[in-house]
Amino acid sequence: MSRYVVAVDIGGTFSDLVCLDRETGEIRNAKVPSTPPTFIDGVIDALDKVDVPPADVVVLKHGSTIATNAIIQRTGAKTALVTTEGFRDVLLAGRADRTDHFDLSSIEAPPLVPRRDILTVRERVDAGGNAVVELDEATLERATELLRKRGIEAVAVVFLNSFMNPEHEHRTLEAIAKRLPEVYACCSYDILPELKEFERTSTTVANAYIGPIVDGYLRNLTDRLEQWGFRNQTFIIHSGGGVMSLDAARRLPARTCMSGPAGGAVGAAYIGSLAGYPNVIGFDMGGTSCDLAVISGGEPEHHAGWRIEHKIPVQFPAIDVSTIGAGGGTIAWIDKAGALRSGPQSAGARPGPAAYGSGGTEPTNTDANLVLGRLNPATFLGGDLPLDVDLAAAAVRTRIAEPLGLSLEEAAEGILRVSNANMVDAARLVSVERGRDPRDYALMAFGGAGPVHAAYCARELDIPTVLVPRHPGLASAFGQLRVEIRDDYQRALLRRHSDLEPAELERVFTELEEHARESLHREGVAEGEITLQRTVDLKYYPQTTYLNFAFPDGSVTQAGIDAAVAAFLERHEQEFGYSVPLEFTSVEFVNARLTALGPAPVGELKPERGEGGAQAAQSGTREVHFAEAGGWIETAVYDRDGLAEGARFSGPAVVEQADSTTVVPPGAEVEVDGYGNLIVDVRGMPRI
Amino acid sequence: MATTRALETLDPITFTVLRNGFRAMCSQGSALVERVAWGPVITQGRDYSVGLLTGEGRLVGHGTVDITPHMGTFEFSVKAIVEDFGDEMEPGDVFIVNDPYRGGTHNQDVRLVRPIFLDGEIFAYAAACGHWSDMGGPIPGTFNPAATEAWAEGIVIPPTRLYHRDKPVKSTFEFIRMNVRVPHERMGDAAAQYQATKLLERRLNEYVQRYGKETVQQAFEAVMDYSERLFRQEVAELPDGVYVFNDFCDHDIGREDHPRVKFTCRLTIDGDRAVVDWTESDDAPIGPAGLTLPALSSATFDGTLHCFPHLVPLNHGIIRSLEIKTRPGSATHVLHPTPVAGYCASGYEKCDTAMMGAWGQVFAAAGRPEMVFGGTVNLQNCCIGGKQPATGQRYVSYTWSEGGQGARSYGDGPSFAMFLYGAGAQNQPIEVHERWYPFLYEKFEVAVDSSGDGRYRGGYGSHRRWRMRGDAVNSIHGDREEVTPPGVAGGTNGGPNRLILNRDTPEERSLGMFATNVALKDGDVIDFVSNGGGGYGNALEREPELVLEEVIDGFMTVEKARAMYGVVVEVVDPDVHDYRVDADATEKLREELAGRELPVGYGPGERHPDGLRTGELLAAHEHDH
Repeated sequence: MSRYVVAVDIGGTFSDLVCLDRETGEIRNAKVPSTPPTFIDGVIDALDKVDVPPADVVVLKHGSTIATNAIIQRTGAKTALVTTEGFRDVLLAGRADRTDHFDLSSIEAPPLVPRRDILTVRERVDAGGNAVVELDEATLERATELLRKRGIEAVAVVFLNSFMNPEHEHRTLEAIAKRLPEVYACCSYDILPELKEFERTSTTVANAYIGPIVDGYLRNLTDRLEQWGFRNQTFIIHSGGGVMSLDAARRLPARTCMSGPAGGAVGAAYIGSLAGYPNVIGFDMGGTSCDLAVISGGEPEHHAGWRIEHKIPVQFPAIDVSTIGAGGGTIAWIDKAGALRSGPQSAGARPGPAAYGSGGTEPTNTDANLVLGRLNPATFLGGDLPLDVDLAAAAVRTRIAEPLGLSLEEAAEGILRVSNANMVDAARLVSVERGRDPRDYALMAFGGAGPVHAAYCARELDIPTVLVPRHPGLASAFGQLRVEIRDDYQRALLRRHSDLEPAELERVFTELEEHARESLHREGVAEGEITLQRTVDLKYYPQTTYLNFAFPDGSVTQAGIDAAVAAFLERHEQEFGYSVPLEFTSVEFVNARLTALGPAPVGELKPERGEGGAQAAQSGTREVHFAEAGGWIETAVYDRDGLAEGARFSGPAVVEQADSTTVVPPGAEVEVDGYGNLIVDVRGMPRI
Repeated sequence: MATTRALETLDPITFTVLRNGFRAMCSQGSALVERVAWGPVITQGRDYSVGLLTGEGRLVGHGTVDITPHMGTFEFSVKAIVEDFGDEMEPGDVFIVNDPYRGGTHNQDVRLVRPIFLDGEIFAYAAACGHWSDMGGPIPGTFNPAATEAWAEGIVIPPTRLYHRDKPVKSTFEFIRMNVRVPHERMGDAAAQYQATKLLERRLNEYVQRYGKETVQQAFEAVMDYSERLFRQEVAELPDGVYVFNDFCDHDIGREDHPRVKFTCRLTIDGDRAVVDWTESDDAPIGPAGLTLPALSSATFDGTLHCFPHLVPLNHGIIRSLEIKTRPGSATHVLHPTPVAGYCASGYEKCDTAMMGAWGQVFAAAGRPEMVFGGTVNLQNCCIGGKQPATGQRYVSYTWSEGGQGARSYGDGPSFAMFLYGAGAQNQPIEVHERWYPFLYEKFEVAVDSSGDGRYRGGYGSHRRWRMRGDAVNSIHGDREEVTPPGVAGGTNGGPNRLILNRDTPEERSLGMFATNVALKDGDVIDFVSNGGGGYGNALEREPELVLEEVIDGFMTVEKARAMYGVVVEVVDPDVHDYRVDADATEKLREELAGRELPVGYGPGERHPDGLRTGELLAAHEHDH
């Protein structure tokens, strides 16, 4: 039986599971609180909750924010960096650029490895890959000894120019593995064999920093899934909008960062296209953060790498997602100057918002929404997590209202306005700041908190429409149902076109292909199902950025190389308006890349059948506070599950469902489409 | 008053879209230059800029990561071109100019300007500027610290047609090709800048088609009005008064006794008016220590916008709100043929720092210490020219170094920061440097103990060292070996910039910051240390735990912790980071040091007198409130 495709996404606050029945198109889902520090219980809870027989699950695709959170919150392993003598500060230096050109006020977060644990070994490889200083055993021995004495849990090994000659890095790894087998260790050649020491170091250090956490997590997960009765394949979702095997995830834990947002972007693109909105801004607001992704013409935008923080670039191919610290659990506070602020600190899953009653005393967005009647304390998370309005009100009152001399409602409205303004600023950066007119886009609100805030943000951004998918709390996980296996490999070439021998390039591709095939075979992918895509990165020799070109399969010929060079010259001419004759310069082959694709079962959404107008779905009314309507007003409450295609209603209204709540402010108009999406026209809302 | 109406009549959505659209098109143009250009100064140093101007040559905006010394010069460049070509301009023309006195900064900053036509009239201008790594002259890289006349630097190109009907003007290209080193690289730079002007033309036309010519023109005005209104409002809230900050170039090496060169910024706040008077600065130097009027204009706006970062990008609304007074023939307004190639590390950086220092005093008087900043590392233009030992091919390298940023009232200055005016600039990866040039690096680490000190310290400078392969010649035009980044409110000035040949060997020789054509031989080692940032407040008030952490991390020595901060650190077992603060000894030592008066002056470890004045203004405000 291979009936169900399951995707689980662990967020900082909640874990979402979505299960698609491939025979009926039925979707089952579960949303449960995330369960740090191990997070596994939440996954099993969610599986139990949807009640599918383990044996009928054909594949489980899993994304998590564990790695990203460990980096942002600096809770990863005690990590050391072993590097070339004389080059201790590559990590701290970064590229020396500021986050803002003029603003000198930023205080940067500390690097993942403090300088005291950056150890150096005498060795040196030059730009040509020659070992000009042999690896010195004595300094290596000393470094290893210090790692032991200091109880280091993870080590990144990065030597200068190692991408040209990995021998010293590999020997160092061996020495560490031999002396300290329990320590998670990785080297830059195995993680990102690419020119530019800072970016390579950052990626390798991030990888080591979360290695032990991800490794431990995957081990637990596998055990627990086996106990649950699951025998089929588990895939881990990565930032490139694909999945990888557990082994690959252990080797490249840094690639699991941003898997949720990547899934969200894939989901937003898919759902938006089905609903007739190929241009959407994904607005995925969960418990701790808000992810923004721009999808134009149905395609998420990609970039060659991303930054977890300004000084933590991770150079893996990825879907372009911007994240800001604004979620349901984001804490509101008063700064020294007496101004109301929001975030970026979050109450997380534990203790969570004050209303959770788990000991949180700081007011959060969730608390503010609850105080204003916008969330229903009894049905939050389908009633699994009853909220305490009094605790929420106490937090808002004591922390914000009283110090500022505001009423409770004014304080709660203020918290939301400040938080919304932060998200609007971030959304401007990815839309108008990039010259895109927001009026051409729809705001796709998902994540548990997205639909609560989206209408106000859209109005402020002049986005006319908010699209709330049928299962907003699960859109990210749903996107994850749709991703297939994608492994990316690369090798530095750094050869001028005239110096590159076809045989050399062929050897590189063949090695990468063998490696890729072997890896996919191990994962049970049959030879006939594997797709391999060769590409090369080319640039004019003195340039610093490259263009990527497909490279033909089969044996590499001089004609193939010449064709790639010609293609480069042509595209450079086309895109940038000039090309330089080869008599003056040369074209450099920077990297050889190989993408290995394998199939993984995916799900398709089917239109929902249903009937009955909005009235049938109205479950009642309650008093909700809307400042723009003058305060508390009688507000219709709808049950999302009862809303079918064609239903129409106007704000003020609240739409409740197990995984989220949609707030429809006064002046907004809603229509339900054939996939059960709420199409909210916000143009009639007053500006606040 | 027609302009004020523009802001009010334009609907707010369109205003926001166009305002951000102008900014976005400039930034996209800049990104294109960075991506496509040839020279590493542009592609990695991000020493480029792209600006959009109205048909009358008023600045609408520029790219958000552009290097700032260009930003005040756009209007001058366009003006020079209009003066020379006026009615002769045609659609498809692109002009080139690098004349520092009329249109720019120094010879290496080469501007391409395209008039954008609409309905047969010039509707706007697109300008793209880039630092070309070599513009000829006697020294590879064109920085010539020994120059006493403009002719000893590089070629000067007056406004000249470079493209006609979007086709290259061969004679102009040939002229450049014959006068610069590594000409094919320059052709790549020119092509990139040309494409950026084309991009702006295309993008602007898209907006015109969508919103109409009139609306776009209204938006030009509205963008300027908006900035002017905000700036004037904020200035009006600041206390009236006269605020003075001085800074100095280490030397005018054109004069025999190598005297310091003074740059005085006198800032008067009077209601919503801000007047910046540079006339008390020294007379023009003989050597390249001064700056031209366009460059001074950039420095004035740069130092201002660091204190009003929310008003970025610069546009004509701000330009017309800030009155600048200069004295032609002075160091802040040099005239032809005073040399200027090294203007940026010398006069420009001093004016930028003095401007920020003067604003710092205004904010101190307003009781807003968060806008008071210690001084930041200065650029050093270290150029090496030679032949690749393996191929015999000629190369020119241009190295700059990051260093310490100034301390703030609430935190230490970051280390490994770019100089103030090049925040978008990046350092050069060692691996890239080693691939391009015959260098073998031996070190890239923090310069230990190099911070300016205080309750919050400035960032640490950096320490680079590399070994030459093959013979070459080295020139450097930097500054701030003697007069270092100023400390404020009692904090000390940061550590020095230094360039030392064969350090710790019998042949050790300090090259200073103004060396010309020093012969380097195969195997020579260059040791390059950069400024630490200026400190903030009294070092004896720094929390001992913070000092301890810096000692454990090896940023600061035990000796400096004791001498400067009065913190006694016991080293128990470095292998496991066991270092401790001896609390009793620390308390005692701090009591002993409490009455000390650190020297007042402009050098490392001293307290800048005008920075002390900032502290007095802060204290006076606190006292009054």
